Amino acid sequence: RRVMMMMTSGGGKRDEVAELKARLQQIASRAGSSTDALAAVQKAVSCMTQGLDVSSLFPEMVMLANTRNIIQKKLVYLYLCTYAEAQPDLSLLCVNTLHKDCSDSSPMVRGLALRAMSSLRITNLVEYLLPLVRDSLLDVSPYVRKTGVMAATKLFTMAPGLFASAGLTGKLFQLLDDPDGVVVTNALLALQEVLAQSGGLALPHNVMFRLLARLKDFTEWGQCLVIDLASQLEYTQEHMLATMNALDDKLKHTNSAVVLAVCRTFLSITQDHAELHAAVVSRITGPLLLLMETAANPEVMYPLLAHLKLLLSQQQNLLYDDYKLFYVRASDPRYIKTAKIELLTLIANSRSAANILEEMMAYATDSDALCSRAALTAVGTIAIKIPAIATKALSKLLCLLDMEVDYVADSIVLVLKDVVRKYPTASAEVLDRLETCFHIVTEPQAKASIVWMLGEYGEKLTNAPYLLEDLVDAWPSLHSDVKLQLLSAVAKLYFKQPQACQPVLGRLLQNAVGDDSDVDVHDRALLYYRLFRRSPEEAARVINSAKTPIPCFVEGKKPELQDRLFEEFNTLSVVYELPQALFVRRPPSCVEVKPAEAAALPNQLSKPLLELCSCELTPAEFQRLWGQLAPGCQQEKQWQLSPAELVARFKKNAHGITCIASGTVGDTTKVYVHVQEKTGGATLLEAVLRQGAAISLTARCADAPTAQRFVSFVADVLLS
Amino acid sequence: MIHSIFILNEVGDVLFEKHYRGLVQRSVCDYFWEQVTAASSPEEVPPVIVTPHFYLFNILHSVRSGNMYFIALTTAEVNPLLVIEFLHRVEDVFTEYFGQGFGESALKEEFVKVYQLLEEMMDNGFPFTTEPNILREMVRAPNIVEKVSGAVGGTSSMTEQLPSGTLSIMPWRKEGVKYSTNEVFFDIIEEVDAIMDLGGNVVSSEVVGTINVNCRLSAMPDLTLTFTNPALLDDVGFHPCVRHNRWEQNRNISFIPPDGQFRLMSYTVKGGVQPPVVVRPQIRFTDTGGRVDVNVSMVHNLQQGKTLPENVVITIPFPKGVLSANLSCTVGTFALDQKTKVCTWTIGRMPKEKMPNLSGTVTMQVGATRPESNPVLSAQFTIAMYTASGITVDSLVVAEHYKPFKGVRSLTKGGRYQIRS
Repeated sequence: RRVMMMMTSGGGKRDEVAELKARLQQIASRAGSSTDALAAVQKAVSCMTQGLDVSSLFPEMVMLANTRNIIQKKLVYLYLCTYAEAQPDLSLLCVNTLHKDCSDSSPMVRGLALRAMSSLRITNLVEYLLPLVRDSLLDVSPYVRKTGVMAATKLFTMAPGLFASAGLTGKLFQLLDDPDGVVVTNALLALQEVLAQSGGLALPHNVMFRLLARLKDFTEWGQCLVIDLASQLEYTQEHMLATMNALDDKLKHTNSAVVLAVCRTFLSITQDHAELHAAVVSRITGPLLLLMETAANPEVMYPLLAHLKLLLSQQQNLLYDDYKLFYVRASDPRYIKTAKIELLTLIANSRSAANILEEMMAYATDSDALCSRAALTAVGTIAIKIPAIATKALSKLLCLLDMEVDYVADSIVLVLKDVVRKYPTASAEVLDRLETCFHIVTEPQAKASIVWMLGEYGEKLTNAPYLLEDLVDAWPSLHSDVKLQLLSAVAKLYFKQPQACQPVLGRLLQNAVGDDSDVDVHDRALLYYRLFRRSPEEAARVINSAKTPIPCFVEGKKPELQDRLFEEFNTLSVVYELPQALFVRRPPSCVEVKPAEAAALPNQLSKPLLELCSCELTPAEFQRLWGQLAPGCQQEKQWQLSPAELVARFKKNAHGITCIASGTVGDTTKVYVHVQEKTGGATLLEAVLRQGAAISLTARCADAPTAQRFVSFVADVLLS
Repeated sequence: MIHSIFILNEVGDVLFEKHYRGLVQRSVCDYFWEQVTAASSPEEVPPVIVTPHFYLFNILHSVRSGNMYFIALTTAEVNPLLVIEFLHRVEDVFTEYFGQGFGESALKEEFVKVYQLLEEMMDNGFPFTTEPNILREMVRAPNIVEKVSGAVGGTSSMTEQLPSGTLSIMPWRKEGVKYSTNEVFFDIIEEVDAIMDLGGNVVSSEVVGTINVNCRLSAMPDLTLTFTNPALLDDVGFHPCVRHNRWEQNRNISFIPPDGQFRLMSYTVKGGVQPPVVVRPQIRFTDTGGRVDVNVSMVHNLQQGKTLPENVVITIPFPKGVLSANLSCTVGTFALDQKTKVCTWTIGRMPKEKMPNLSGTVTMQVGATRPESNPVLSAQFTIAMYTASGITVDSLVVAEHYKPFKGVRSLTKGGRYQIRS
């Protein structure tokens, strides 16, 4: 019955489309009343937005593009752009109308037509499009010029060869001096996209400063773009200060994207000036906090919190006085709550720890288990970081155990384990409570933690062996994490309370050796068994060795990652806490810029012709690849380079080349580099320079022509 | 660069899609929808989601008639806040056009406008114009006149004239504005965020202020606003029209305003403030029920002042195990939502002499466990002609040949105002 209903309703929709087609035909033939036409076109587009296939109306809709009503025109264009890709042949029908509209007297119509024409994305049409784009760039109306610039970009993606031969890149450069701000920023965007494959847009200093000087002409989005570009320059001290002065105002902007762009530029241009850099970090904190406080919604707050966290990792004492801003509110979504808790953990110092601890305890009973876990973990981290607060934290945690809520107890036990690792003296107090915990906790991880503590500090608790005995008897039902800990714990306890433990240990080893469900458990059991059989003294030395106190835990400390992230300030990486290389895929479509086109580029832009992208390869991976690949190309030539200079040239890591290793032994200097091509695999290169001899370059790559190309690229560009 | 934009309704249907860099199948929204169904409430959906080919940014447009989601798609690394800010700007522009709290039906009805706006706000994936003043010149806001004229003559609803704003030195103001009566209104709105413990002690409090302006002035007026006590302000953020150097020099706010409504500035205040409304809850649960006793009072200077807190509403989210409540209040009315167990106590206007009180008992469902934690109460209120920070306008000078009507109002609201019990 349901199927039937669906069929009829589908049929109904089809009828509707057919009816609409008839109506459009009628209107088109009469070329009549514009109200009817507009209504019919609206109907068609509304069907389209509901996901109905109305592609069959294409011929009629093309005819209706010929109108003076600008709304109707817009709607028809919208329709055409949606269906043109699927119907390239029929699309030729609308070229005439679009062509005519592109020379209309109204700039709005000219702009619209050009936008539609370029958005059709039909490769057959590029020859028609080119002259229109060229004319539009010189149009009197800024609206048409800015649309034209974007149309040029679209033309580039469809036909890069044609784009270059028409010399459009140069024209776009001229538009950087356009009186209209939007035209300028659009031209920048277009150039960025066009030059992305050949090393990116690098503006000369004078152009950049001119843009910065007229920053107020641009929309806030345009400002983001220009400010971002400013971060890519290299500056003299004087220029650097001038740029920072020019941008300082923008830190007060209400648009968070602009503020973040300024922050990024500040951080990146002061990178090599430690003192200034530190000053910048504290300068930008205020504006970021204001944005966070005024953020009307959590979506904006979330990236801001991530960025503040990153700043904090660089400068520990940054937010000492502002920590209350990060107190969690009941209405915050979970992702904000956990981010705030992490920040508070990082901020906590001896002055604020007591207050922060109090706060965390308020979140610990949150009905959301994940938030409660985050808060309790934070309590542990703070207790470990700040010894002065540890006793207080511990007593609060133990208090909370009385609530006897399973997920809270699980988290507390996990935290307690770390706390006693750091402060072994606290173990007696903790151990007293473990018995009650035993029956509340549910997670295997938490159970394993209890077992570990009993083994490690069990000498202070007379009934510890009996607690463990219960587990030994429940062996088959245990999780393997618990089993592993149980083996170690009972073995350790054996040396502390031998009498009570002996029967338990015997039964345990019997159980474990006979258990082949988990190899680790089985192996550890066998190891212990053999150790004990050989010599109990030896076993004591291995199993029950004295622990050295731990000053701090290494987990969670990733300075390299943070440094990397810092370079990628104001990107998604910060939100993900992963460097770009690990999650951003390169766009699949790659267009090679041909030498002829490159010659057409202004001088400062002539960049190497290989399409490379940076990529990480560890030395070990490099070595493995080097062994796998056959030598592709070899070349020897005399360059007037000293060994140090040779290494320096490669070490610049320009053009996507990554230097893996270099070194000098005797009179021979070797450098190993690699590049990653966007479309193909990696190409590896070895450069060898013997004192007084020629430099020999050897490239290894999966295909020989690429190796050849790379060697000649290095020879021509890098070394000459 | 933003690849596409989708607008989804509450049940996950695609209402609108706009592709700036080639078509993308709607099915990509399924990844987003998975997150929505997995989340306990729409607010919990993380703002950035990774899919095999795209990064999905989303914001929630929360309205009573049904939530909507605005989704932007990107293929590569972007500045995350640029995308999120843009989506919010789209929401703001739609609010300008289709009214506060616009819903699904309003968008569907005006779908032609929606598409025009999406088209003008972004080209090839980069935000272009999001300034409502300029957009209004390219896409006319829906109004009655247009509907009538459209029906009669079928003429275009588009001004043939192009926005000159983009060419003027001030991109936020067009030239040749003319009003028969010149007037300008300033609204100082302060939101107090506070966390208090059960004794009425302040755990944290902060004030976030915004000044919204409704400007209906002819020609190119140059305005200067001064405060009596600018030293109170801590961090400030300005509309692009404000001259920063004047602020740095003598704490004046000097600007040529955009036409119509805009947000002039936002600010925070140094140090905390005394939260104007104080709530003291006493809630104790046992295994079978609990006792509730909530007192509400206000700070001293409000008791003396002319205006009293209004629209006072206290919300108590009782634990799910609560079956019924036997409560009574001295002022206002209350209601317990049986489904969500949220008790809403509407006090209205605070009485000057009396201290409102809500007290009584609640009973727990049979077999329900005793709640682990006491509820976090929240309070809402508005206080007209009052600023929590104490900031006041000293003077407003309009440098023009005409004498405009000038109005300044202030309002303090409870923002995220929470009381732990």
